[in-house]
Amino acid sequence: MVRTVEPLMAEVGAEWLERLRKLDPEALGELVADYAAPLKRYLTGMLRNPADGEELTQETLLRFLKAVSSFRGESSVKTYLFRIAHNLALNHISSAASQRELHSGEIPDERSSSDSPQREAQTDEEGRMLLRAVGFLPPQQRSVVILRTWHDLSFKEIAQALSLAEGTVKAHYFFALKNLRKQLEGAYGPR
Amino acid sequence: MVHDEALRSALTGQIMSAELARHLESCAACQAELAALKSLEAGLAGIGQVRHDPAWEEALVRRLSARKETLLFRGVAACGWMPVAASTLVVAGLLAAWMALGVRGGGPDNPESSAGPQAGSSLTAAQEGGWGLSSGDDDSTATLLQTCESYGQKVPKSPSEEMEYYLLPRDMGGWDG
Repeated sequence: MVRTVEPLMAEVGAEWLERLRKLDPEALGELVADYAAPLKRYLTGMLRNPADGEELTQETLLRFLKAVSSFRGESSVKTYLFRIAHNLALNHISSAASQRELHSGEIPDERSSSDSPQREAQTDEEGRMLLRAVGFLPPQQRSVVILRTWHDLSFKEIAQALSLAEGTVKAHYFFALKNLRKQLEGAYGPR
Repeated sequence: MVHDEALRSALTGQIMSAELARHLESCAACQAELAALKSLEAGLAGIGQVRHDPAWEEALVRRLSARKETLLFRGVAACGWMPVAASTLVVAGLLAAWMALGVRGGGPDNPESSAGPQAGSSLTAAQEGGWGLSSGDDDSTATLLQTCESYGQKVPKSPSEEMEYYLLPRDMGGWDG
């Protein structure tokens, strides 16, 4: 089942947060339904490993639930969750074990296969190359590219999520795209 | 440098100076690069689909619910220590106050107290310190001695007199008069 990245709850009510604090099953279900898949996609992209992505998604949600009573709504829940996820991802990447994984793994392809077989084969190959290239970006650039292009976050939201200045985020994005283009030119020749 | 600045502004929606805008319009290399980068952006958006896995999501809800006790206890633990600490302080304060009153009540001016002259420890403390020398009972002792003096009884004025006061026979002015 594939859903496009839908606009996540930008503004959440205090009542929903209160239910979440009490671990109301319905509120918990809504939290998971709205945010678990995007978080897993982000973390899998950052860590290039689906198992780690799933594990850290659970950890991200747990940390959010632990901190939900102190959540003041200064940023959206989505931004807050991505901030937790990003910090967990960076910690994971900086550990010696995941450093080894970083050079061997690739970002798993989660695209749907709805195109014609010929087109599918072409886009599959291009997509794989692109995923591979994204996987080789430095973590901050990778994070900015994933949040911007996969999760449709604005530069301001990305800046909040990564605790960076908006100008820095824009610079990361630009250089990430240039890096990707360079990598793909190396693979395909000039496009 | 101008190329990069113009491209970055165009890609990130930054407000561009008139000079940069003119450059972007007139520079063929910049236009080609911008088109390639925009195509790359579209390609990236295409590979970033989020796939929902209902089974995994259901399992995740179950796992999070299973942590309910830990999560709720943490919430209680985070704010629940304050009443406990406050209660402990109140009890400790009451205990200290009771003990202080007990010590004060142990002097000869409060014979009804359970820690009065009959109680061994308080009596010993009074005997060791002497009436005029015990720290907490200066006022009441002085009053008592003045009263005794006003009735013509001999009262001790110094530690040596105090010793005699207790050792002499009662008809010379002991405690029982």
